[in-house]
Amino acid sequence: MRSLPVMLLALVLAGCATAPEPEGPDRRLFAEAVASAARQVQRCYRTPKIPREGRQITIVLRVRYGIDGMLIGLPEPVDQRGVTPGNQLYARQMTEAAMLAVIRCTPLVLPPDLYRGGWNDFELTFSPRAVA
Amino acid sequence: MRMLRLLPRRHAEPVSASTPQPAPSSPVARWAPKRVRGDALAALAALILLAAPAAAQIRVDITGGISAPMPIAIPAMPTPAVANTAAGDTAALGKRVAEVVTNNLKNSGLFSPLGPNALSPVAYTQVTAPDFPFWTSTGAQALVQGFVQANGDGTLTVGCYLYDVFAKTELTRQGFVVSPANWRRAAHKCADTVYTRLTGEGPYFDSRVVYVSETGPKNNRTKRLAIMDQDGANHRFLTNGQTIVLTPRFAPNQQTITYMSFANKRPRVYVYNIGSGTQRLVVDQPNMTFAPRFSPDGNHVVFSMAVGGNTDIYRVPVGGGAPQRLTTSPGIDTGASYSPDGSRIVFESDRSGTQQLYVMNADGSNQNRISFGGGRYATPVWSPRGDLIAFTKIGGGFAVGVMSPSGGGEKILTNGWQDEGPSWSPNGRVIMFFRTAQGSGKADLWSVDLTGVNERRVPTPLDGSDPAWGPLLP
Repeated sequence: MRSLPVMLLALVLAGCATAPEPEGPDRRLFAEAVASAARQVQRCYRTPKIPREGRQITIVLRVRYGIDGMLIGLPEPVDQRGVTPGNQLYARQMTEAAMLAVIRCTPLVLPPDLYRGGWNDFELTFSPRAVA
Repeated sequence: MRMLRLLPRRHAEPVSASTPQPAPSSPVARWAPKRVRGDALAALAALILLAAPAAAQIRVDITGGISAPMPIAIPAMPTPAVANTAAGDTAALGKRVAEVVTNNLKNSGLFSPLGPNALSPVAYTQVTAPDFPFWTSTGAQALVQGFVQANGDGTLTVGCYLYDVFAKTELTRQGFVVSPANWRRAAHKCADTVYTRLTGEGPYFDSRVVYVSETGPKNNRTKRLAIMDQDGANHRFLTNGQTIVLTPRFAPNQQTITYMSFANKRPRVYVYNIGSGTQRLVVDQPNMTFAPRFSPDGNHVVFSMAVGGNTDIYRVPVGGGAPQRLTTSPGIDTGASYSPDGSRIVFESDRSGTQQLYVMNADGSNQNRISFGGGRYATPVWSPRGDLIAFTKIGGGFAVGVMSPSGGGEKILTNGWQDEGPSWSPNGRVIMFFRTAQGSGKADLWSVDLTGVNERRVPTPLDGSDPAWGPLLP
C-alpha cells in the first residue's frame, strides 16, 4: 500500500497548475533533458517482432521519476493511438514493450536541476513505426 | 492428452514433493520494476517535490527501438525421481522436452534461446523458485522451467512454467498429462503456452502437416502422402506411391484427409481416413475432379470438376451425394478455399483472360475479382483468422504473398525461384509452402512468417511439395 505522503503528493500534484515553459538557460536544459531521456529509453526499447500493422500502434505512458532517477510507481498507460480492428491484437504487446523499456532503463539519468524545477512527471510516447 | 491446471502455492506451505507450485502472481506486480524502492524513497521524493514549484509534464517521443528476438532461457527440465518409461527415463525426457521447446520458439523467429553453455542445471525444487539473479545475469528476459514426472498409471506429467526475469514473477503455468509416446506433444503444448503468453498470438506448435513426399527422377517421380509434426518429427507415409497423389487437405477433425489421386489412371478426389488407412471416392463421376478442400465445419468438400472443356467449382456433402455447382463461367475456376466462418469462398479463375483471384458467397452468388496487381494469381488460401488470403503470385517467377479478402494490402513474402502452394499455420501467422530449385526440379517445404523475414526450411526425409498445415491438435 502506498504511504500517506505519496497519496498526499498525488493530491497536491493533481491540484497544481501547469508550470510555465522554462526560458533562457532553463529552456536549453529542458530540451537537453528531453533528448537525453528519449535516447536512454530508446536504447531499452525492444519492439515486438510483429507485423507492420501492429507497429502502427502508438503507446503513451505516464511515468514519474524521483530525483535519483528511480521510478515513482509503475508506468501508467494513458493512451493507445492507431489501434484498428486489424491490429488490436497487438495493442497489449506494444504496451508491455513500452512499459518494459521504461523499467529496464531505470534509473533515468537526468540533471538534478530538472527535478528541482519540479519536472518529474513524464509523458513518454512510443511510436516505433520506423523500426524494421 | 490431458491438461492440468497447476494451482498456486500458498506462502506458508512448503514446496510439494509431487508438483512444484510457484508463488501466486499478480498481473499488476508482473511489471513491478526491480529497482523501484519502497515507501521511504517515495516519501523522500514527495518531500522534495512538495518543496518544488508547480509541476508539469515533460513529453518525450521515442520513435525508434530495437526489433530483435527476445532472449529466453529454457534449461533442461528436472524430474522429482528418475523413472524409466517407454520413451526413456524421466531425466533424459526432461532434456528432450526442453530441446523441443527451444527449437519451436527459435523457429518462430520471435525468440532467441540461450545456448547450452549459458544455461545452468535446475534442481526440482527450483522449478517454482527460480534463481532470478543468475538468469538476470545471462541476459534472458524470459525463463521457461518445468519438470517431467512419471505417474503410477504409466503416464507422464510435464509441468511448464514461464517467468518474467526482469519482474521476477511468474507469467503463466500449465501441466500436461501424456502417454510416454506423446512426450513431444507435451513439449509442443509447453512451447505454445510460452508463445501465446509472450506474443499474444494463438498457438500453433502442436499441429501436424500432411504433404506429398517425392522421390525419383524428374520425369518419373514417385509421390506419396506423408504426415508429420509441424517441426518434421514423427514422420510417416500414408500411401505406398503406386499412384500419384496431389493436393492433400486436412479435415477440421484431423482424422480424414481429402486429396486428388490418379488411382486407376483417373484423377479424382478421395477422402482418406488416417485411423483406418482406407480411402473412398468423394464423387463417383466419369469427369476429372481435383483441388478439393473441406468446409470449416467438415460437412462438405468443395472441389473442381472438368466437364466438356469447362472447369467449375462444386461442393458435395462429405458423406456423398449430388454435387452442387457453384460457378458457371466459361474457363477454369479452381483452387476453392472457404473463409473460416464458412460464409465465403476464394478461388482462382481465368475468366478475365488470366488467372486471378475471386471471392464469392458460399452458395456461389456475388462473385467478385479481388486481385488486380500485375501478373497472375493462383492457389488462394483463406487464413484461419479470416484477415488475409495467401496466394501464389506468378509473374517472372513464383512467389508466395498475402492480401486482404477485399484485395488490398498485397504483400509478397518470399523470393525463391519457384515458391508456391501456401498453407496457413493454425494461428494464421505462419505460412508453409514448397520451393522448387532451379534446374534440378527438386522441391522442399519451407515456412515464412507474415513479416517475410523469418524463412526456414522444414525438414523432410525426401523431397516435399503441396503441404497442408492441419488445425491445432486437441
